[in-house]
Amino acid sequence: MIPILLRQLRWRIAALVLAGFVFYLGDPALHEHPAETPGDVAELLEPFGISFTIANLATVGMVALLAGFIAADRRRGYYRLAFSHPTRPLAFYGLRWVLSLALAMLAGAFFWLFAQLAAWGGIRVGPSFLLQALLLAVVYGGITAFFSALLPRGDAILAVILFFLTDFWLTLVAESPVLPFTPGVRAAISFVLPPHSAVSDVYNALLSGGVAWGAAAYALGYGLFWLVLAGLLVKYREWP
Amino acid sequence: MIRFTDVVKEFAGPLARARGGPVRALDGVTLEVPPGTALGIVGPNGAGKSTLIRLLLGYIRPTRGRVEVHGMGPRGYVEKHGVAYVSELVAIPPSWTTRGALDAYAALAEVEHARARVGEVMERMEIAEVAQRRVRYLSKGNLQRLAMAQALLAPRGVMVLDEPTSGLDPEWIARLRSVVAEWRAEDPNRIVLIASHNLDELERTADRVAVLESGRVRELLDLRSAEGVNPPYRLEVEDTPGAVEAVHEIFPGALEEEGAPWAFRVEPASPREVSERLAALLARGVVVRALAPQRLRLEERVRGGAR
Repeated sequence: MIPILLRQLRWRIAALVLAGFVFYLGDPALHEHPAETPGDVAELLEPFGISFTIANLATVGMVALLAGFIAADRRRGYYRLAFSHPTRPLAFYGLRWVLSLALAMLAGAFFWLFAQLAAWGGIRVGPSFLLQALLLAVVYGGITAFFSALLPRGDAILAVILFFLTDFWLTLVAESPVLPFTPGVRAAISFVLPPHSAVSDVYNALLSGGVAWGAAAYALGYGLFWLVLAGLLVKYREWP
Repeated sequence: MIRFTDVVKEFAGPLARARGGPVRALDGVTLEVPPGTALGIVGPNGAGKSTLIRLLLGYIRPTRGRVEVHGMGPRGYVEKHGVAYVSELVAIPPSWTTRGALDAYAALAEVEHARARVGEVMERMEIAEVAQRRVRYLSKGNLQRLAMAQALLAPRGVMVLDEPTSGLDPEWIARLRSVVAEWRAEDPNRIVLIASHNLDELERTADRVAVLESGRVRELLDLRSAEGVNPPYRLEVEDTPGAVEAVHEIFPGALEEEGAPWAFRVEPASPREVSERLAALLARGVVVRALAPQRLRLEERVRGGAR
């Protein structure tokens, strides 16, 4: 089944490769020569650039690879013939999800290796920073899967909107002390939105050479929560 | 054995609620399809044919009652054994090629020697010429044949065909009939369900026909019953001396038609008896103009029941 799925995903994979090039060209950290920037800035810029770019690439990859993966089948009726064969829909979509995660992480790993080699001629940022990419890929993979199982269309767009909304909200919370919300409401909104703060905590811990297991587990749990909900919808919801 | 026991299906989504309540698509359907049976399902639009098929494939669940396929829940059966299914609206991703689609379905069906099997079904359904053509460019007939090809990929115990002749030309309708007949002949326990508006075709393919109306089984017609196999015949002879007497002698109980003195209704016990008595009649020098079975066509039986 995997070769068939890969063949079906070939255009999306090509788009992901293209996105990798765009990310490489667009990331200033990969084009600033340390000799031209103050040492302490360069030290921060390199891991910051590479880790967040990889995380964003993996997120974009996950959302793009999963866009409409359940919703389109339901809406267009492709499931009718497909699931008349001895196939469990949950296993089929589960495989597609895992394959997408593997491809997104593979794209991140390639970027981690080749972007550093191309920009700096050597590896300066260790592979541990891929953890951040993995967490965001699981978070947005879970969210996209949930929307795809629930809605007839718009799953990927909603995931992207949530991404920017969360960034906007965190900026607002950090920079506007006069938000018209009580601390409890703020905390509730931050809890419901994707755990960007937790992922940042993981990044900061990696910078200091450690791993923020609690934050990582929280982010992972958040993504898996939506993924399990998507799985329940696939299993128990009637087909149109 | 496929068994529907007092099955009720109501659709109660937001739209249904806005329209004033749930829509009852099936209203207490009880139906048994024994192994080796080809069951036709007929009825007007909205009678519940598609709902019945979706229940059988486990895509929806009954609101009340029970659906069983060989003692299992329908979804469990399909996920374990698969069903050879051709849907009414053949939906296959348009960017797939014919070959690619069959490869994908063969992978889902876990077909052994998939490449060879895909080649065989493409040859059988004569779509090898369009193997590399994308689904979006296939004619309706080719698309229907592709759907039939994927249904034939693996050996199954149950075949479900929803309007299978839609888009097929008369030659291919006849070929489809032989494909289904061959499929049944491979295993006499196989069950075929065919939902169709093409009653002539159903009459040729099905053993029994369930007539659905407003979500209920209005009538179950047995097309292979004694009446179907040994129907009465209409015999018409030339106006020659002694012809009427010969008919009465050779076909005891022959009834003369009103207003047509040389036409009779005769009821032989078997097709062999028809041949023997006809031979005797001819040997007596009677000129036979016509001998035709007076079987009510399915369309007449379905419409007759509706009146």
